[in-house]
Amino acid sequence: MILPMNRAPLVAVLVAMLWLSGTVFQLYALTGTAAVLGLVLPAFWALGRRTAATRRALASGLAATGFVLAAFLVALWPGNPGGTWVFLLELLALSVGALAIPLLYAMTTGSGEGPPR
Amino acid sequence: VTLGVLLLLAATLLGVWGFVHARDATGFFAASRRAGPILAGLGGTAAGLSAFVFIGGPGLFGSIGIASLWIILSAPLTGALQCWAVGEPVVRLARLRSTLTVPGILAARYGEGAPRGLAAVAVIAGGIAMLAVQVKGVAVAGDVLLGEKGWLMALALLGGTTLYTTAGGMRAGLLAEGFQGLLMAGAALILASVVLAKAGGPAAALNTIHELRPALLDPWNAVGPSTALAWLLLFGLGTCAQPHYLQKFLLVRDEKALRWMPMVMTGGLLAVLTVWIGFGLGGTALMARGALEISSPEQLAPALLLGLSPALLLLATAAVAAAVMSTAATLLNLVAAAFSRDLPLAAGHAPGESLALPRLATLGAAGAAMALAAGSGRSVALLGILGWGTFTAALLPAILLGLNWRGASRRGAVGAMIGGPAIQLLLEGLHRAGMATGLEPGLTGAAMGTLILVGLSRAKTAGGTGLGQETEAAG
Repeated sequence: MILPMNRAPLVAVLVAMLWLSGTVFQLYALTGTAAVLGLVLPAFWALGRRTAATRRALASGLAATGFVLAAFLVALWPGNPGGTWVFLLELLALSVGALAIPLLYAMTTGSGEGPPR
Repeated sequence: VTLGVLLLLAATLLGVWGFVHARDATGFFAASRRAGPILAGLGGTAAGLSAFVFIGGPGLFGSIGIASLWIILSAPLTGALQCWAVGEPVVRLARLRSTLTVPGILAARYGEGAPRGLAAVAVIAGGIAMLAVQVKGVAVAGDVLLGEKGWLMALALLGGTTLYTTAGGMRAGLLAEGFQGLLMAGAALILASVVLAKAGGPAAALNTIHELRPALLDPWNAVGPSTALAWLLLFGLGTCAQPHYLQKFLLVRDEKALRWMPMVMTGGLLAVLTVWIGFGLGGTALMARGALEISSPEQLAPALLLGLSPALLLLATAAVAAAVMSTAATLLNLVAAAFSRDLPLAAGHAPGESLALPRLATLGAAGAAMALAAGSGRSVALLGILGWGTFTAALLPAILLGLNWRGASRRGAVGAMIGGPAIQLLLEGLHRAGMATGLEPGLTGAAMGTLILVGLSRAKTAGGTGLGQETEAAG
């Protein structure tokens, strides 16, 4: 199991602590990490409710989503670059994500194995 | 006047239809659980988006540029995230326990009494505050669109919504929301295209901003990373705790309906958000070139709307009205359910079968919201903090963790539902005093609530109905 549901409290506490530390001490790397984990990991909990094959498919998609989001945040980091490319990258992320993530969900849900009993 | 008459006629017809079809509590609060993915998805998107997207969003773009997009960057993920993390367990719980309301989800998970009661109080306080903000917002927008007749527009919209929601509950409300969601999406696409065309197209608009106002293309801008990242998380993860989103999972006909729901929700959401980007980009470019003269960026959307043809202005007015009415209908029903069903159940009294009290409570919620909105702007702003942030602080840990971790206990959930909003309100007070401004109140409340929930649950408490056990028992 990639991230079983009994790890849910560990993840939640980790995200909460990272978020609080990052904002109190103005450590943006921690805040950014908490934002990415907080957004992506709850979806990983749901993997515990699906079969192995489905979990692998979903995990790949979500890992890719998390990686793109994290890379996006890291790319913005030093010196606040600004410029047209950032805006275009954001539009690209919105467009591709809006198509890919719901499709990822539809790939398994209702196909007979998920949501499981 | 024509719009007002049409609105009244449509609201009356819908109200009559809803009155005939919503014969019991399931019909009134859960639209008889007949919604498929398209209706539930469009309804969820329409209820979740307010007039802020049409008026406030472009203004924010004009003020801080692409840093404003941190609010909407999580949009592709939120639909699927809601279904994965809370939608599937909520649909199952709703079937197992005949749950009709959002506080009922917490009662089904943690047991009756305090969990349901605390959630009901949060829904009533936050719901009325959010309703008041809608009314106030439409009054301001109406002044621009109709010329000093904003309060009349607010009264007409809230009155029409109250009419069909009181008569037909969510049976009528969901049908209206489906239509309103389509209208908002279509209008947003048309309006955004028109404004971008006026600015010479997206590329020309972007070049203008790059040359004349490059600071607006800074991804953080004056907002700073701390607030920007807080927006990303608050509007991403926070969707899992908003009662007006959660309610839609109580209305769907079965689990299979969830399959295409994220596609509908996300498609609708992105279509409506084009107005944020289109108005923001096009309007800011026109402003930078001196083709649009406004005294503050907040006037960006109103100024652009006034420059449209009468037909497009009518379309924009209809879209703003749809945004307000859809949000108001869901909030009215949520508050009525919390007052007439959840508070009595939390106190140990079974609610009767009659729909008289829910209908009276709907009228009461509308009256309370109108009175609050008609008061000073300051009091609305103060109570506005009981909106999105309060729902996140009060409900996110108990809902998200409770539905995914069977170890979450009743004591932990109650502690989180008290501690989270208490910390949020304390921080809001400190913010007003100019202190602790780096801490986003709703998120900090939710983070502390999470620590409280896990801490108290780990302290070996009894109570709490395991979701897994319930599911096994049903299987």
